[in-house]
Amino acid sequence: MALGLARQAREQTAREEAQRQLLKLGKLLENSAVPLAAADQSLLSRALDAYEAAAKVLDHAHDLADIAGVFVLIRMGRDAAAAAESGRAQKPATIDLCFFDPLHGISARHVRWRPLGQREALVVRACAECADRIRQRRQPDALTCQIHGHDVPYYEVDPRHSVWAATGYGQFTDDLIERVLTGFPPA
Amino acid sequence: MAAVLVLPAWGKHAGVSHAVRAPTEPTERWLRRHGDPQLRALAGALPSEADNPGYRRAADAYDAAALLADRPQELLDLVASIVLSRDGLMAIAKRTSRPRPPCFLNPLHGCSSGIRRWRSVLIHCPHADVPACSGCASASYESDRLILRALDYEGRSRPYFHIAGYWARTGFGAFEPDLPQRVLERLKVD
Repeated sequence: MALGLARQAREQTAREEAQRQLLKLGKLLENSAVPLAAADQSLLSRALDAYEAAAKVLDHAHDLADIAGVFVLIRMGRDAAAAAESGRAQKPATIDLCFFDPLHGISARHVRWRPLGQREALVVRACAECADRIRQRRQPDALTCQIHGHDVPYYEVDPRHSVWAATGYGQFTDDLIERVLTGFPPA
Repeated sequence: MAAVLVLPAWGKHAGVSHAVRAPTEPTERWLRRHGDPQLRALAGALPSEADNPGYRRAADAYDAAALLADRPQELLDLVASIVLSRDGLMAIAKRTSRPRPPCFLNPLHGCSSGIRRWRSVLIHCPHADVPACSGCASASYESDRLILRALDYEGRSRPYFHIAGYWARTGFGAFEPDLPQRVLERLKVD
């Protein structure tokens, strides 16, 4: 009961912060001048798509995993807008949030992670704490989803039912924005 | 009567806190039926034991046991999977990074309780002294009824330590104190 209430409170706080940051991104994009170069226009278009995708996820968000997705998309939008603004048509920065829980924040570093008992390893970005846990062979502090009443790390959810599991919040693929715009929420 | 016959039957902590009965020529079905619950028990214990001094050993043991159970190359790999699961459970229960080695005569008996001087002249043993479980330690001689057997490359049933290979060399940890880590290195997963 207490855990459930704490979870709800955390979700509510995160939702409010996501709304605030989304509004801020919207204002930033409203005030952005259309760049002259085609490459920069393409970046601005990506930023607008990211904004739209973030707003869509926030509208349909039903758990913390979705709200974490909003933060990732906002970050993608901000990076693309900044790249367009700079006029250097640089590639937007890759996602530097913790793979195990994007809400752990930035300053993520690459780690090789092989879950206990499995042969395949992944190289992902992780926050310092999760990286330390992996080094000590402990479970990373993963963002979980409730599946049939059990807390399951989001990346263990069937990828057909979770765009976050399918993309690792954009760490495995660079088409997260498109996937959200065309296929979120999952059928 | 062979002492192994008076050992208790398998339970939740079979082979962890006490030795248990076990066949000398287990089938794959038997090994899976008895190994899976212990592997699951270790998986279930790990998340809440991160501060246990035996955690690292238990995590390595689970890792190695699960990998062997997932893709065994030979029947003895499934024996090793059970031995490793118990090694991890023992590391947690005893809060130690060096749990007791398994019984050399039949590692499926579980943890050793002491060292036994090898007496038999009929069954050659490459070691003069071996870790043995309570049942095997008190047996008057090393009989075929105590010793784990496996099929050699020609399909003949022999004591497992007569079949050249990794498990004969290490005695499933009886002569390799850091078995989990060595198995992981052998599997080349890290």
